[in-house]
Parts: sequence; structure tokens; C-alpha cells
Amino acid sequence: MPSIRLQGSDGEIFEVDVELAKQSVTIKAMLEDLVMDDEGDDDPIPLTNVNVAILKKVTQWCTHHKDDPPPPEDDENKEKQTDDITVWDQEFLKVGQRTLFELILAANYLDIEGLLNVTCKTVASMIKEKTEEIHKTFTVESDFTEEEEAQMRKEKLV
Amino acid sequence: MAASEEWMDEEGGRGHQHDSSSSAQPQPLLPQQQAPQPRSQAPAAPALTPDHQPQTTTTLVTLPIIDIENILSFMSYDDISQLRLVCKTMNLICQTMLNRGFLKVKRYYSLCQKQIKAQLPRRESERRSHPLACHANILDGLETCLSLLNTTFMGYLVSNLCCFFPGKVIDEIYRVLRYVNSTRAPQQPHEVLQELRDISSMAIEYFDEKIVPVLKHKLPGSVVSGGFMGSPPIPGHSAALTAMQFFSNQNPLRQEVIELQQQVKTNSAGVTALRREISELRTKVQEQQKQLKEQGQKLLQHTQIIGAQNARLAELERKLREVEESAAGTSSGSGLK
Repeated sequence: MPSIRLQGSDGEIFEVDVELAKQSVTIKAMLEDLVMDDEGDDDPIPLTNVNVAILKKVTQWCTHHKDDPPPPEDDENKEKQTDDITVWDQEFLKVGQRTLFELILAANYLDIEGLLNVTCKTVASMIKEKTEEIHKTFTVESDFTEEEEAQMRKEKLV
Repeated sequence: MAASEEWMDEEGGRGHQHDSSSSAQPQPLLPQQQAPQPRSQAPAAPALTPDHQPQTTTTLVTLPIIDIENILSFMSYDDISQLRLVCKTMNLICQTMLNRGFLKVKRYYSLCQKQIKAQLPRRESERRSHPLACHANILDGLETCLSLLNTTFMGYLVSNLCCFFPGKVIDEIYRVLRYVNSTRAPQQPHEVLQELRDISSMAIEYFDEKIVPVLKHKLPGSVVSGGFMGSPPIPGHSAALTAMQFFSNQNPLRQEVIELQQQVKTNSAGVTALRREISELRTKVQEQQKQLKEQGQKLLQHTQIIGAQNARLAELERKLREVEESAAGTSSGSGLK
């Protein structure tokens, strides 16, 4: 099976099956734009925003989902669910917080809709469960003054 | 959903559990090795994921705004309104999403109204008996709510003084619209819209009483504190009136609007009471009709009984006359001898 070489942000080269790589709309567009002559231009495709470790995770996901049907057209008025993540995806996303966010960044950069949806759903369901402890869970500090916070809590009462 | 394992944010972090089954025990993370085997690839050689790399700074609020918005798009607007308190960045993002949500739900309402109206006959008398009549009535009721909300909030949103903070109201409007779209025989409009009317009137009252006095203090020309209340401007809208003109208590238009709002509230309460009364009266009338029917049947029975008795009486009288006549004949015959 033909493969292509991808260069991560850390400079490492990673080889992947072309058909798998084309699940990324970004890579697919790059391939279509590049002039590939018959002698085989072996220069790797640079992916400056994704390191190889994350690329490998993304490839793992793409391999499992290679036969998935195309996602339905987005209906902005349809209710979005977070409880329909498959067991495989749940296991796949049992990673640390930073890896999960890096996967979101990678899925966004590589334009892989299915991966972006499932990673965002995972974070959303975590936030839903931890709304009260969100500062602790996501190590975010509140930068409101007391007055500002009091005013906002007034609006929260509705 | 199962309670999730709290993440550690440094290298070697534990994995979280995200399981739609009712309970699951937290398990330590073994990155790369615990993930299920892909169908056609050998397991990837362990590589340093960001959890194992020192000094990585990717957190929820450092993600690009588009990614944070994508995450929040899987949450209800009520949840989004709660997340404003996290930090200023989240506040700005949530405000944008709430404002956008209000505009989107209005667009969705317009779309639903258009679709329903296109299927209704033009003649009013035919419309009343059409299967979609109830759907149209629900949408008419919803339009009233949306107009009130629009009148209350839109000026402040356009002037960038606050956001559409009652996320629960947006969720409820969406619920009603999805219900109308998916149900063939919906319940009566007052039942479907009861919750929305309650929470939207609460939000409007609360906003007018508690929030507007603070916002008016921040009008152009007065001291604005911090500017944190400012929300991203609504795209596609321009303030036709200046903020001072619009919010001035002297503005007769605003007075009229407030009076109209109160009028509508009073009318809605009156209509609800009248409906209840009508329903009770209908039940009484039905009971009375049932009683009348029973009495009519008894009357018929009695009439038949009386008729039969009259016939018997007549028969008895005839026999008595015959007996009397024969008795009179017998006594006159013995007298002549």
C-alpha cells in the first residue's frame, strides 16, 4: 500500500498509509496540491503543529475508523449528544488532560471531523460532571475581582 | 454518567474514565499500552505524549477559541451560562455563545413557523380544523415569549452592556421547537409553553429589577467599571438609537413597552384562569347532560307504566259496570214475580 512521510513539529519523520492520511482533509488537500512526479518525491510533508507522538495516536484512531461512513451534515438545530461515544473511543481517550487537548489541536489542524467531535465531546462530558470543581480540574485560576464575581453570580441566579 | 477520575495535570497523569454505564472504577493510566489494538496495525512504540513531557502548557483556556466553542457546543446553554464564572476568557467565550444562541434559536423559530404556515390552508375556518392547527398555536404563543425577550434584552446586547445570560430559556425554546417538529399530536399550547412562560417571565422580571439598574450606571457618559460586563457585539446589528435615548426613563417608547409587557403578563394570567374555568364548566355541563338523559329514560318508563295501569283501570271499570248491570237486571226480574 502506498505510504507517505509526515514530519512532525519535533522533526521526527513518521510514515503512514496514504489512504489513512487522507482522512485528514488538510493532508488530502496538501497531497492534491503537491506536484508528485513519477520518480517519487520523497520529501516528507511538514506538519508544524503536531508532534509525532500525537500523530501516532491520530493514526491509531484513523486506522480503527477507516471504514466509518462519512459523518452526516451538521444540523445546527439538532441537539448534540455526549453519551454516544463508542467503547473503543472511550478506551482510546483514556489519556491525560494534556494529551487530550493536544489531540483536539491536532484534529482541528488536520481537519479530522470525527476525531475532533469525539475529543470535544469527551471534554464536554468531563466539564458537565465537574462544573463546580472546574478550576481545580482544569487548573484554571479565576481572574475576576470580588465585585465582578458578585455581579456575575447575580446573573447566575436566573 | 460515571463519576470521572480527576485528572492530574503533570507528567504521568492518570486517565479519566468516561463510561456511559452506571459505575466504573478509576484505573491508572498506562498510555499507549492500554489503548485497544488497532485493526491492522501493530501497537505503536511508546512515544513521549505531552503528559510525559515536561513544561507543556496546553490547558482548557489556552486552546484556540474555536476549539473551546466546539467543546461548549456539546453543552446546554444553561451549563454555558454557569461556566462564565470560571475566568474572564471563558466569560467572553460563553457570552458570545449565549448571544449567538439567542439569535440562532430565533432563526430556528422563523424556520419552523415558515414550514408550518406553508402547510396550513389559507382559509381561517379550514385552518382551525387542520392537523397542524395546534402546532401553529404553539408557535404563536412562542412568538409572544420571543418578542418579550427580544424587547427586554436586545437593546442591551446590541449596546454591548451585557449578554443573554438566561441560558435555560434558550434551552427551553429549543425544546419546544424540537417538540413541535417531532410530534404529530402535540399537547395543548398552554401545557407545552407553561415552563417557558414561567422561566422567561422570571428572567425578564429579575433582569429589570436587579440587573438593569446596574447597567444603566454603565451607560455612555457615566463611569464604567472594568468593562467586564461588556460582551462581544452582536454581529449584523447596528444600534439605531443611541443607548442614552433607548434606556432613558423619560423615553415614552420604553414606558409603553414596559406597560405592554405588564399588560401581556396580566392577559396571559387571565387567559390561563379562564381556560381553567372553561374546562371546569365543560365537565359540569357534561355531567348535567348525563343526568338529563337518565331522567328522560325514567320518565319514559313511568309513562309506560302509567299507560298500562290506565288500561287496567279502564278494564276493571268496564267489568264493574257489567256486574252492576247484571245485578240490576236480576233484582228487577225477581220484583215482577
